[in-house]
Amino acid sequence: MQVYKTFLKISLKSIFSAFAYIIAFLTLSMLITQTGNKSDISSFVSEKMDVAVVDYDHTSTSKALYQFVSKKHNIKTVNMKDDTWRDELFYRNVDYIVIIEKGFEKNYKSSNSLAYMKSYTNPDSNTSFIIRSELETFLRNLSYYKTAGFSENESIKKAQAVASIHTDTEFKKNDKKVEQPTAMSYFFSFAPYVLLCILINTIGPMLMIWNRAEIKTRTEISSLSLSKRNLALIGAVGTCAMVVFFIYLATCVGFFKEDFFSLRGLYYSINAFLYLLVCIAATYLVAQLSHKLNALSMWSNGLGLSTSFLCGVFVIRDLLPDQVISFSKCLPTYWYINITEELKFFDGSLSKLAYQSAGMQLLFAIAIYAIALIIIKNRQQKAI
Amino acid sequence: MFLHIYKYRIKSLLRSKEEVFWCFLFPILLATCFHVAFSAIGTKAYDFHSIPVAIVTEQENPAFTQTLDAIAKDDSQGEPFLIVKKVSSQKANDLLSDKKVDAIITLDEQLRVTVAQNGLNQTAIQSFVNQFLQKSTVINDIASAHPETLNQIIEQMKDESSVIKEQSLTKSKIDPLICYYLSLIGMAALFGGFLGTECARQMKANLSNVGMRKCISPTHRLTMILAEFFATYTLHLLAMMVLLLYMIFGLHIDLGNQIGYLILTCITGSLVGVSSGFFIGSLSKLSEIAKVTIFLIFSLGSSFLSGLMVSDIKIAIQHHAPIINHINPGTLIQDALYSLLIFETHERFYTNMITLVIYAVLFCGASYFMTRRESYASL
Repeated sequence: MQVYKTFLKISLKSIFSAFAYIIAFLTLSMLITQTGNKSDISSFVSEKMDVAVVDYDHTSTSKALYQFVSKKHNIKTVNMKDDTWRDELFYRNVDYIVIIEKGFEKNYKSSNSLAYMKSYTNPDSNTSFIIRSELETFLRNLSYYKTAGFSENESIKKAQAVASIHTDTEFKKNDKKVEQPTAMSYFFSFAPYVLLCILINTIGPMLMIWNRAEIKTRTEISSLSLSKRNLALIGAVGTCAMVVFFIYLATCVGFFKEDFFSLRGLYYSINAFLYLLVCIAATYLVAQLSHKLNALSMWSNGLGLSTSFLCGVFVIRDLLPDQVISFSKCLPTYWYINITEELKFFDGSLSKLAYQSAGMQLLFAIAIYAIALIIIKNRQQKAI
Repeated sequence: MFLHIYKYRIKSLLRSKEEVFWCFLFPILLATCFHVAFSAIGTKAYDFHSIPVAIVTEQENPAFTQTLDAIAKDDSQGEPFLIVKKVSSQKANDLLSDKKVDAIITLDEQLRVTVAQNGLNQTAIQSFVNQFLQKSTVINDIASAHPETLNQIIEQMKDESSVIKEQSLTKSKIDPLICYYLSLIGMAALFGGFLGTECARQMKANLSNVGMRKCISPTHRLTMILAEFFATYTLHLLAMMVLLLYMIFGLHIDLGNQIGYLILTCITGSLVGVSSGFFIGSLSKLSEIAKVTIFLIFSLGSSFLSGLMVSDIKIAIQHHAPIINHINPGTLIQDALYSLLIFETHERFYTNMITLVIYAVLFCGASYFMTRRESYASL
């Protein structure tokens, strides 16, 4: 109890530093959440895009094209005289720029339009091919009508009418109601990095104090056994970690109240709690291996960033190489992400894999804690 | 004396494991992680792959069936556009539920597309069906109004060559994931602050024993500060060069062909990193834990805002609070490197460089005033 109480007293002394970390990482988490759910590389929902049409031709064909684009997408204005248009593209203020050069209509009729119509798009755009395809289909249809002998106006009207023809796409109705990913899903997806960094950087320094030679030897010659000391320490670390966890959940409630108070929210919280146990054990181990404060930051960032990138926290797992996915099974973060990915499309019940993943996290926590205890025991024996 | 202090500061820093890890090994470790994690994205997300689709025939549609057969055989892009599975309605639903197909196309009085989720493949299938419907309408219109030209139009339809010349934003091809690596260089530059903090700690008599000894030495304070600072800076520049060489020759990352400007960015970024650490380390009244906390939040937060973890964050910031992008050192370094790849002029590059130099001057000036002419009543 003495060790437990002392640890908490020490933790109160570094409360400002701890809160600085908590606020910084939670802010970071919220920012990732806000951008994370918008930057899913593999998905695209058909919607209006921002297109700039720069018309140097001013003919009926170029005007028809402009009209066609304005009906399907949002028209944006860009200045092609300086480099600002590149900025507009880079910052996604514009998704696609079409430039209709002078002489387009004349040359388009002679099937030589390639030199008279240019387009610019962002290098990582995965939606530009849709606009391009729409423009090309419209221009081809216009050309077919003109070649067939329809008048200029008729051809434009017909091509515009044809462009509006589309099939209705149905969404398959499932027997079970499948929920879609929400902002809260992304908030919990990034928990491995945030929780690990917060715990190592806030609780690690307090644990390091107990490893100082003078304090360690004083504790060792006391009547308190090593196992009781370790138990008290892990209890105190657990208490501090729970405070961090409650702050984390409170942030989640603050921003995603409706989502949080649901069965899915409960499962997310339980999963995060299991990962918290892994983080507690990892913090305990890292504190044994570090001798300087800088080393703690080194561990937290080294472990946090590398496991996050390798296990699919920052990059969607489907896009990772197969060998990396196989390797990441050796890391607890992989099992955490298994559950969060399943909960993104939650259908009311969890699969067997989700329960296995929960069990794996628990086993990882125990294994890491056991390694920390072995290190402590070995050091004590060497000291003797 | 300058060279003597310079030499021993370098030797001392090289023996400090934590600082060597932060400056030399951590960026290399992270770059390797990026490389491993991103190595399949090109093929999995951006390269074309055949789309599996289930076809349910409720009512025969010979024209569409013929088009499908032709598409399924055409592998001019390396792989056919569609992998067609002609099945019953029940089987098609099962395949869609099991994600074995991306969509169901039902041939009825009208063509219907059924999907289970949104996605690029689903959009491509919808687009394909739309194009078929639109072409059918064009043929019907022409057949009824000008049947004599129908054969000519059908011949014309076979030529699907592009009518739009797609221009690249840059002269060279840009890897869409390059922003992560540029942010990483920014982070590595700012992490020079770990060396700077350690250097400042060893200059202050109230923070370390080495600092006490230095304070009572007869060496001119300015000479000492300059030697210590430049030694730290030299070592960090070396770490930056090692990182660049590793990225270019080890990981084969295309950082453009303006090597001179690239090195200039590293020189300026490193100066900001080391001087920021020197400044934070010189804050006398703060404990060591508080200094580490401040520096880590500053360097990691700055790197995060430049897009180290999520590259789109920079764009989101530009939309909501652009001032952050103009003052955040991590973003300034990242943006300077990005501008070298994107823009043909160097206007934006120099704007970023000037802002970074202003930061370095402010940090160095403030650190100098906090470190010189200090006297202590007791230690």
